Amino acid sequence: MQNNQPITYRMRLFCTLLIILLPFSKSLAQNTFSLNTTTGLNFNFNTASSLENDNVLQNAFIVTVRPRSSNISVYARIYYYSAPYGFVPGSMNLELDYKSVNSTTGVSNLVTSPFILSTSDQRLFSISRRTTIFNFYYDLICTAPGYSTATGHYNFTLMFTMTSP
Amino acid sequence: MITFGKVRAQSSTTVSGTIDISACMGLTITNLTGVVSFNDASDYMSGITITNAATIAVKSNVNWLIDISAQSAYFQAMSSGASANMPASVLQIRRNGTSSYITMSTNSQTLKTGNKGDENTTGNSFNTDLSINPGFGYNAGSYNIGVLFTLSQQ
Repeated sequence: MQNNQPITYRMRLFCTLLIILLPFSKSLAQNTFSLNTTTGLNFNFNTASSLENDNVLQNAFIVTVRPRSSNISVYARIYYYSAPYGFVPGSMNLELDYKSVNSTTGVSNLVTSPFILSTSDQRLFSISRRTTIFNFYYDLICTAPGYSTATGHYNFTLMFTMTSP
Repeated sequence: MITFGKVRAQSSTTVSGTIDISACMGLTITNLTGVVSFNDASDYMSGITITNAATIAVKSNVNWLIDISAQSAYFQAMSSGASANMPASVLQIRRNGTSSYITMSTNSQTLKTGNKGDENTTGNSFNTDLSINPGFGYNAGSYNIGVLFTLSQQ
């Protein structure tokens, strides 16, 4: 009996440590998500010809994700905007245009064509769980305002969201 | 028994930017005529009218107006013996489809106003007519005068 006590004690200790450390091991394997901008997100239309052409900020965003603990999806939307009096929504749009990613393994639902940002979430891509760090590059496009869009100063805020089930 | 609903983990970040659109305008004038010649007495008696002498196309993202003025008070004599005192008022311009001419001077006068839009917007492309009536008071010769078209925001 006496010889069994240390073993029982050790097993209890091991189980106790396991219960304590299990949540930490989970947190160490969390998904990570970050967004970097490579340029100022400012568009200027100050000539007649500029009004007739899309204005492109090349590689404006780098979306970096590491889905270590679960499958993930990333979405984007217009979180806020302000416009001068007379602005008609739809007369000028912001678009995201996927350019490249360092790896496509595990990537699905990748939207590769330019799409108009709206105030509703739109999925950019999904990735299944893995340890790879993914860098997605996107252009930000302000479509040609033409001659009908209200002149003045516009502000916008975009929101990128990573979700996991 | 306690049960937990499925919680969707979510992480968000935001970025901000700006868009600035300035007042921008473009003006294209296509001259449809060349040198105007006075060849017989009737030309001097009643002057010469040139319908659709030039086409003007405006594109602007603000409501606009075009002023016209002569660049000099008198026509410039371009040949030997030509008079130096033929006034700009010999030349008159109007928008095609209207009845009254604008008599040219060095003062700006409004030829037309219009709404924002490109050249396909109604009213943003139009023709002009010219009337030149020097009478018999000036020497034969070649004459030249500059006309300034100024496009601006209303």
